Amino acid sequence: MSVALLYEHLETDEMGIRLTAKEMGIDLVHIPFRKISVSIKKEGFRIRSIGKDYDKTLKKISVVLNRAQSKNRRLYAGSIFETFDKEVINSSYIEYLCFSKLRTLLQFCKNGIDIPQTVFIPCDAYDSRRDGGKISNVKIIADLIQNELGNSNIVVKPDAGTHGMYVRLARDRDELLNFLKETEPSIINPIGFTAQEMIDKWFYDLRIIVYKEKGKSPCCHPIGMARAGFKDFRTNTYLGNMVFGIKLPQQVIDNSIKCGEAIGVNDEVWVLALDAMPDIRKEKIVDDSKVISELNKLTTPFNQISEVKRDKNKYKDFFVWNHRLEDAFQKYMELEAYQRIKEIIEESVEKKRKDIYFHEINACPEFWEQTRLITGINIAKTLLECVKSVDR
Amino acid sequence: MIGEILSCPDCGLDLEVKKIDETDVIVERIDIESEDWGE
Repeated sequence: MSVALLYEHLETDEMGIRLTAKEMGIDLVHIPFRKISVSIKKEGFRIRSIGKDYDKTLKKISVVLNRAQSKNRRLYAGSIFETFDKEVINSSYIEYLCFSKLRTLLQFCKNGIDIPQTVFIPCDAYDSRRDGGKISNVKIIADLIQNELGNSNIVVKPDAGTHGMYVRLARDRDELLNFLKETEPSIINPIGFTAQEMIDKWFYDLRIIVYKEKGKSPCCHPIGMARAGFKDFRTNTYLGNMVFGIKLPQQVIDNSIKCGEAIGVNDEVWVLALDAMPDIRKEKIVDDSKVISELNKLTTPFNQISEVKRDKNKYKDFFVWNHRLEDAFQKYMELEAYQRIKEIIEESVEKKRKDIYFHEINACPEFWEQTRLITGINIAKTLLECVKSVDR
Repeated sequence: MIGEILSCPDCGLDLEVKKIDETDVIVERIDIESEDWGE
């Protein structure tokens, strides 16, 4: 069996998957999914680029690892390959659910999982009149949101956004009105508005990996990644927050598996990355000043990691760059300040294990440059083990 | 010419011409992104 790795751009995650596949003896072929044509007829389908016909490649593959970077392209890719009887990981239905924060939360809610209160208003800020001009719906949208979530600290987010982009905290009605006025329908927020109550997560949230191999029960990696910082209420690592490997309490593991099952539904194979946050409710185990002091000691070593990550030579000499990144992470994780923050977060997660809210799930997570190194878990191996399980 | 954008005919990777001399054309990959990229 050949496995296809489908992607638009070769990033370090895909390079890592290729490296890991080689170590595992898995034959991996590449299918591009951007400047290609996909031609469909009654007899089947064909994929061609300007210089290459992928017909022979398609004939010998039975499994596609769908790593297209664009959420929309991933959806199309899944539909195409599944139609022609290829096993796609993750399936197009899983991609469809994960694409939308609202659809994800609906599944979580249906399965009894703790989520932040979320309000969806299926109305855009402005509508065009047939007889010319526009009408503003901003005020009524703000009223509808505030009727449910109160008058302060409302998070407004695009339904299909990534990396924390355009996620905004409205502290009062004026800010809410401004955010609503500025927002137009887009590829990452096609209709209306999604708003949530603000959860006091203190200074961190969690990234948790859950997965299922064919023929086996779903699992959760026991080490999660905490993303921490005080700079912004959004803790995405893309925004520069630091990361810590955190041992997860059993209750969090069990609930995470429940989340995976809620999204995986009837699929036999999946690999997903959950985002979760504790509702601290003022129960901080140490003062902020103590945490800030320790985080400050980590700024320089973490910046050194960031510098390695930004190095464009990673594409030319991945192997060497990879070692540099691993060294930088090792130095960072050996520091006393790292251990102290790790212990604070672990104690906090243990204390709040019953108050963890799950709010998002990712079907194609980035993992090579941080999650893998901070948790000690090679997600590429998880993906490829899932691929192998399909062929047993 | 310098600055010209090319695409790999096999996989479509975007490349920019950075340098041209008598024997070589040096290209670099272009990093692109869109609003719905990434997780």
